[in-house]
Amino acid sequence: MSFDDDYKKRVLEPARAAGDQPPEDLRARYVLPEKLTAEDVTARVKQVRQCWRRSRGQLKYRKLIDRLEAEHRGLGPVFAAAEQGDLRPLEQRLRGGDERNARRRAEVRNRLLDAAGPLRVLSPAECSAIGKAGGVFGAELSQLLRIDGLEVHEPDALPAAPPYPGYGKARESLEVLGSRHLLAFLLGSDRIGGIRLFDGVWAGGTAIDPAGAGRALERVAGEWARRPRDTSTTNAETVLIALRTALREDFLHDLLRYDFIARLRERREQRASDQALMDFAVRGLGVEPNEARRLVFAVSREGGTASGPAGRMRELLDAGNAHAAALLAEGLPEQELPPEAAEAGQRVAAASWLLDEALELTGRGDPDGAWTRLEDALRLAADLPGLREHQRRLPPLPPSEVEAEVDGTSVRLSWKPSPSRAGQILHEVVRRPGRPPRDSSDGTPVASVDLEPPVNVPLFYAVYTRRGEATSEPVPVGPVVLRPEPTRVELASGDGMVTGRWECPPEAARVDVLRDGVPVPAGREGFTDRDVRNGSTHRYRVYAVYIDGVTEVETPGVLVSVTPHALPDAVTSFDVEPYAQDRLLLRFPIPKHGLVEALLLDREPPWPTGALVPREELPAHRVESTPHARGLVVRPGASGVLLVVTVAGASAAVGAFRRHVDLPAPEGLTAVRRGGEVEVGFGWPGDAAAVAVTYEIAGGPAKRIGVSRAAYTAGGGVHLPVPEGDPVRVSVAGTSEHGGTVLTGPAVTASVAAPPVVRYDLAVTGPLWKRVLALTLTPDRPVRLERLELVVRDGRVMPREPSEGELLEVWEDMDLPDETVLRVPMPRRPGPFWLRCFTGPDVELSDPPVRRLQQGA
Amino acid sequence: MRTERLHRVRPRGRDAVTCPYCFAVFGRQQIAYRCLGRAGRGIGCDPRLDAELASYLGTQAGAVLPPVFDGRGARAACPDCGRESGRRACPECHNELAPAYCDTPGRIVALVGAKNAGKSTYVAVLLHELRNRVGTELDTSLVACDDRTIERYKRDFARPLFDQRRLLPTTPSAVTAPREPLVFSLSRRVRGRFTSRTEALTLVLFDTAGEDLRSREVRDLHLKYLEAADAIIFLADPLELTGGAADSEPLDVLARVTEPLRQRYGLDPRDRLKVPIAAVLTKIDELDVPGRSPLRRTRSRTASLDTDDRAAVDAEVRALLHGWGAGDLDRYLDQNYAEYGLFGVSALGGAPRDDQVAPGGVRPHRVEDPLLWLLHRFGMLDG
Repeated sequence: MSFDDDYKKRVLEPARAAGDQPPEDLRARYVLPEKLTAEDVTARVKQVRQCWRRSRGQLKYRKLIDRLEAEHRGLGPVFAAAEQGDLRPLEQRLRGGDERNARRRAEVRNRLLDAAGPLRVLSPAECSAIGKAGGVFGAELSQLLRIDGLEVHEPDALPAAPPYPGYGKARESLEVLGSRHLLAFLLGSDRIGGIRLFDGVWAGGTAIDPAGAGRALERVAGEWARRPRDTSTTNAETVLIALRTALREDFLHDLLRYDFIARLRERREQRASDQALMDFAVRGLGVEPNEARRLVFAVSREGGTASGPAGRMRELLDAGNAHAAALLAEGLPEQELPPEAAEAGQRVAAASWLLDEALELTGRGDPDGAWTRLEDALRLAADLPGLREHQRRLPPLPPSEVEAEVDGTSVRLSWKPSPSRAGQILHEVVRRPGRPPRDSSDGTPVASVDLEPPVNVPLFYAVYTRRGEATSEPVPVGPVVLRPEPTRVELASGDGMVTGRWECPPEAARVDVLRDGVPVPAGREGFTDRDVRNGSTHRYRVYAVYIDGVTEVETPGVLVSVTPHALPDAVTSFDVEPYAQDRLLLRFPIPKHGLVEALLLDREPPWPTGALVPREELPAHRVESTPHARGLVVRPGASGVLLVVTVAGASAAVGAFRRHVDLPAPEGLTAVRRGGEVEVGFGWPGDAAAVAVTYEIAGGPAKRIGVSRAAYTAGGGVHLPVPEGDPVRVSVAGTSEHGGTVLTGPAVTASVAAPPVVRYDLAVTGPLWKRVLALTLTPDRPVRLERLELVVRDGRVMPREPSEGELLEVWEDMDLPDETVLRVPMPRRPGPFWLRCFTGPDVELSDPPVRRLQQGA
Repeated sequence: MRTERLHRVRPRGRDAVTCPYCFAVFGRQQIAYRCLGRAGRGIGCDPRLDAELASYLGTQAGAVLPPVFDGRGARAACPDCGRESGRRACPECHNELAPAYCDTPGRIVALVGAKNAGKSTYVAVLLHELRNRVGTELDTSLVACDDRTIERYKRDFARPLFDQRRLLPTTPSAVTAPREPLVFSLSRRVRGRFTSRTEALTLVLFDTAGEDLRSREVRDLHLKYLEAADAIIFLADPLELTGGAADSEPLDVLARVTEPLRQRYGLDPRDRLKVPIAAVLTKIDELDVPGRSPLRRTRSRTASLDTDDRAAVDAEVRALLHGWGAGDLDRYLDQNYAEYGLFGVSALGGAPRDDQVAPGGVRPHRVEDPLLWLLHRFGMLDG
């Protein structure tokens, strides 16, 4: 073997296999001898570089050689020194090469550990790829794997599809029942562990064979059968059917195993880590740890698109093209048939059966049933020839009870919906003038309310149902002829005449008017009728006339009743005078025409007196009023502008107006005696400018004073001078002036009683050694005192009640016709003291000055 | 005869003037002047920040004015611009002093009371009465001494109570809302035997928040005010007293006013304050007093003090206090004040409803009694 061949085999090929990575070890790269000499090194480097140049001609080595040359330029000084006899730099580099090799091995080892993860298993492909990337191969790689105890084997092939089509439903039922997995349901306990799934299914060290599984199944079924029937029972039955089917058709192990695989796959799709998957498999599902590692390794290495016929077949199946997948399977040798082939065959067979059934139902006149079967078949094998075309040709049933009626200027259609319920059913309408539409394309499509139908033309409509591209037979209705009435009909009454106006439909020949059945000359847009009587109500019919061929057709018409009136006479002026307690008489000559009403406005009216205005333009604030021989009696109830109007029909004549001030009764009247005056207080009556206070003292003549609001506020109420012993009756009323006339509102009254007043005085008389207290009583009228007490109290504080002092003297049943003097011995007291008299509540005792009451101060 | 040294509260010469704003006492010759400032294109000083006035107001707003300078006589020339000015000002706080006040400084009446005693309402109604019914009866005139008083009286007292008939809100504490007094001058022509003279009473109404007097720290702010007063009107809510004086707030407030004044003057326990004090029970319309009570009667409508009526009211209120078990208040006044009078008034005349005065409006009763007594005390009203 030449040097080149040997070099290629030992250096270049491994380097190329490692991804065109030049060997780190310079001794290997340059094939240097163990014992270095300057001549040997120079000769061997030259020989190797010549080999590189020759090898570069081969395309597969070009990239590697370029890298080797590039790195050699960096090593130039090392070899130049060696050529000149200094081998130390080279030896130093060679030692450094060992270090780099060690680093590389450590890196490869780390990569292997990373790839193996917590499962500590690698696939052969992963292992070789990492070794190749790190430049470690064969025995060296195996040694690294052994150091860390990593296993290398292919992941187990796991089924992609469930062996039982109804697995999804069974799984949902398991979730509802809260069962851990199918095996747990079968064995009747969630506590089972040590589950093994490869080489048969084991649980707790016991193999699940068909006989044992059958017994377990019957036991579980029996338990569920004994329970009361409810939704849980239904779900349990779903699971039991799946297990029975699997047992009967001998794929129980596959189904049980697939249940575990599916659950792990779901977790993996949710981005669970390998460690999390292991935990779930061991703790969550009860799988034996080694089996769990194998299972998780297989699940975690799934992914990507399967290549080859199996992958293509899976793609077709996932896209719903089971027929194409079945055709693909037919072309494959039997031994290479993937599991997808069976699935494709089953789906095509089921779809074909459904198609046959749909054809049979179509023949029996049940298009809805056929449509449903075909929809199911499409889900299984959408590309099965003839399937989609047949479904497309299945029309829904037509609607029924179709009706059309004119509604103003539009036509409203109604119908009973199609009995078909399968698929998306739409109802559509077409319109055709002259004859019924023959099919869905024969006419103008319209909505269920035809807003712009042609006028004075016989119209036919047809309603049909649509499902996809298929339509039912149209159900026609008609003819309908739209002939609109005149619009905006307005009739106005005047004095001995009625006028009318309207808008005539453009298609109408003319508009005619009948008054109480008698034709009235009318133009196309209005009329004036003078042949009417004031006060009589006339009924007008305004209708349109259309030409239908050679005949005329009348519309029912618009009916309006009108009563003409003579124009109302305005009340040009009126006087106001008080009427009864709280009302006003508006005095004016009664007008010949019209009824007089009073309105209360918040400001002066915008119209001049005598103006005629439509009645509806008047403000709605009518005043409560009663007709009177001399005018109108009103009770405005608030302040404002009082306006008189005369109303006749829809017209009103604006009359005179006056500003009105409302005078409600004053609220909260109080009258309190304060010695020689009575203090009167009350809530100010509305907007009154002043109040009239009338008071009668002791039944004498009434005195009246006017009090303005400012005077009331400044004086803090009204203060009336009233002698202390006289009763008084006070009445207060708001006043307002109307054009020189003073109006007085309702009055409120209060009375202040006057109990008999007995004034008394105390005087000390007599010589010093025999002091006498003279008590002089002066009544304002003859009075009888049931009890009179003279009380003495020591100290600075005046007694307010008899109990606050000592009783000095008592007189009972004493008549006081006029001034009376009583004498008692003057009490002797060490310090200052008070004397004071007290009597019953019916008589008011008036005290003398304090200096008379207080003694010895 | 009781022997005691009556303390003269504030030694003040005939020539002394007390500023009704900062209560500084100074000689008439020390009154300062404020320049009239520039009018149009004429000569005059430009406005500048008056630091003393700003310090008094607590804000620079309204304190940028022409300068203050010293001078003598009715008018003085500004040393900067030469313009003559008659606008006189306090040399301490630079508040403008009304010429009438400078000429006849008058007496200062202070108003104190516990929280909810009705001070604001009493002030509003008393001033209203002095301008209307009572003013007519006494032939007095009442004028505000400054624009701020006019504005504040209208805004905070007259409009809400008389125009809108709303009860006045509780006065905020001086801690949160600095206030200045309402300064009114009540003047009256007093006829002597041969001549007549004009006497003036300066009503400095410092509407003190009740809680300010309860708080020792804030009360000191008002001590200067009380110290400068020639008379004190003390308001108390009778409903606070009907439960007895032992835990009554009015007595506490009165003590907190009295004790610092005593300490300020270093009074001996035997001594009494000479400043006259009118102790007024407000809201007497809410009390159930018999028909013969002088509190139910009105005073005679004359321009003099009815001394019999005064004595009757005094005796009646004293009897009421002792009847409620609140005689402590009377005794405390007797022990600490050489002159005191007891009064009963009703500012509104009726119980309010839902923050609104009674439907009959404000109908005051006897609100003027304390002032008439003080006028009589100062020789401005015959008895």
